[in-house]
Amino acid sequence: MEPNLRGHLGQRVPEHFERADVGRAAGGDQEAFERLYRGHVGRVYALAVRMVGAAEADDLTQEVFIRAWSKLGTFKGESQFATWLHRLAVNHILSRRTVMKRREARHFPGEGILGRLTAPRQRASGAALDLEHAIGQLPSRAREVFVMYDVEGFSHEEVADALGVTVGTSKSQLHRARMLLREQLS
Amino acid sequence: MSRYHSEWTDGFSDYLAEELGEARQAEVEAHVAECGPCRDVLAELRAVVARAGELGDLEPPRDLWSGIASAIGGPVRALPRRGDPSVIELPSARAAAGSAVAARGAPGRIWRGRAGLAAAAAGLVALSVGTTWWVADARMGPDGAPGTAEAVAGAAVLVADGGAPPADLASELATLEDVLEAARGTLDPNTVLVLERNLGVIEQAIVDSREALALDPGNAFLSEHLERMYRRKLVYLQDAVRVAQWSG
Amino acid sequence: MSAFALAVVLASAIQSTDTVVDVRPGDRVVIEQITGEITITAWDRDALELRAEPGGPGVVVRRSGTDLHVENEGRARRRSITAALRVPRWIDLEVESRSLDVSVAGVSGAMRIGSLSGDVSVRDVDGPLDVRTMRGEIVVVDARGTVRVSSQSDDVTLRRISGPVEAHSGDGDLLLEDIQAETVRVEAQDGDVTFSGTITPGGDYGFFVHDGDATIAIPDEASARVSVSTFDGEFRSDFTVQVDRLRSGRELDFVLGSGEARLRIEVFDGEIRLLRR
Repeated sequence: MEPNLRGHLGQRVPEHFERADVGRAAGGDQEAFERLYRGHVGRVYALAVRMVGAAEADDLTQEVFIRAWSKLGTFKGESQFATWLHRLAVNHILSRRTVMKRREARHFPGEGILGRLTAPRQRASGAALDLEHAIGQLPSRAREVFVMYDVEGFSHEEVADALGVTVGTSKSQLHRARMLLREQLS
Repeated sequence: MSRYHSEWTDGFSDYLAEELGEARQAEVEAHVAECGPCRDVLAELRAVVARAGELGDLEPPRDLWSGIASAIGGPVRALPRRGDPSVIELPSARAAAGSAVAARGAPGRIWRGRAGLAAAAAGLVALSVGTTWWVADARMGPDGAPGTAEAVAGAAVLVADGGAPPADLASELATLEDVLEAARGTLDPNTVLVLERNLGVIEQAIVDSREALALDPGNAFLSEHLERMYRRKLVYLQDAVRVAQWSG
Repeated sequence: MSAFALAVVLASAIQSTDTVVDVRPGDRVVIEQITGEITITAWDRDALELRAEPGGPGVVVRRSGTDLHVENEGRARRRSITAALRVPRWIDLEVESRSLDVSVAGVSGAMRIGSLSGDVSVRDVDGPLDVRTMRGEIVVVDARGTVRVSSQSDDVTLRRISGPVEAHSGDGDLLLEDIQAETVRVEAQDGDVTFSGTITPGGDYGFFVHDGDATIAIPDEASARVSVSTFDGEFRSDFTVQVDRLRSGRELDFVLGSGEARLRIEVFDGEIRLLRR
């Protein structure tokens, strides 16, 4: 199924209430955790779709929140909850993508690249949908770097560290992704 | 229509990030002023970057909450959470909280400083006596001498019902996890990232194994496999605590 | 800057940091909390020679009883160094660091190398070897003692090993080639395992993979009781197997030759291939 596009805000909870919900959820309050989920699922899901494709994004998103539930006790409030959750999501998605690549390579020999197995999306009007589609067509390494750098705002050092590549590779893959996207979109 | 010049466009991402140095930035600008195709490429790259920055959240096509709720709320959990049988709660304020759910790391817990970490790790050395670095296997002792070959245990179920770890492991896992959590504040973000990601791989293997065992509870291979994953987690946490000591 | 001060600066920039320390039987070299890159080679002198890059942060050798500590001078703990060490062949070696690429050749003593991050390369060694990295590739070639290696995040490569082997990778592939050992234990969480080696009568060989393929190549004439288990994957064999026991549909036991060794291959999610070497 196709993801629905929303704007940035989604169903955000004002920060003051969110901090209270984090405290309650850490104490076992599932309703409070559901409110946190509703406020942040859009961002986590978007990251999952862009990194590994729509087919796996549902499962990954659920896994991220289940993991967040189990790790709430470690969130000490020095950063915003969104930042903490985002880092947890990035970590989890990156650790799972290696597993998924192996599975894909085993079951679809010759495909190899996770991005190509993303469920095909219909071309529709709307610049954002075009870009989402084009991101899904990128080779996997270029896509990961592009999503982390241009969409999520990580630095090259952070991208390199997260993906286990050099800063030089991060820069060259970013440029490669941008050039491919440019071709697709123009 | 003439094509753009890759010897110039190859540097356009660095140009947009202003990483080329003044002289080279100026050269790029001068070239782009004269070369239409390259100018178009630069404008298109700028547009890609701008649009990427504007991409927003995406709503999942279906509500994912029910799957999450059943995983975190039911009595038999498919995925690990604090309070899970894989972690034995330490006798502490957590027990006083009254329920396994509430026992998950109460807010405001005290964390130990470095001295405490070293002391805890030293205590763990005592706890770990007899546990070799390697996943427990009678074939190789700590000095590396190979032991006698022995037949693999038969169909004995080596983990408790529900896929919980052996009791000796559960206690030590919980202690090590606490020590590592306590050390988190003393470690730099890169170290935390590495430790968390590595732990994620092992925990996912445990999750996979528990799910499989839940579908086939009498399966000796799965029981042994799951036990091996738990023991691997133990070794990992021991190493991670040691790394935390160096890195703090 | 005065001419004198400038001369001092230039002089210290030109000189290499070059230290030679006598070493006595029973001594051990301990390298701790160095960041950067260190190469350790054996020589025939009973002495330790340390060379560090000229102009770089200082590295010193400090004796404490029978331990020779190679460490940063002063408080420059995180500055990156490039250093070369020559040590007696017989010496024991211990390395523990947050971020250090280590290369060792020719040492016969016991070696223990641990790092959070950094590649480790070891060749031509005789003593027991113990290497652990959280992140960093491990390569061991031509080792004749016990080899125990573990990388949590990266690939492990072992070639021409003749002592007992234990190898683990959390998230990386393991490649073991030309292994002539009586005891081999290999474990991978997310990664493929590829092995080729001899099967010694009375030997014990175990390959355990959670998510990845296991490709095990053994001699035609191998004599072993074999157990193969997979939860989700296939088993393919170059050998004709007559199954002795089939458990749960996905675990089978059979015998090659006279069944003198023990071979276990267990994969949770992945393929098992048993090949002729």
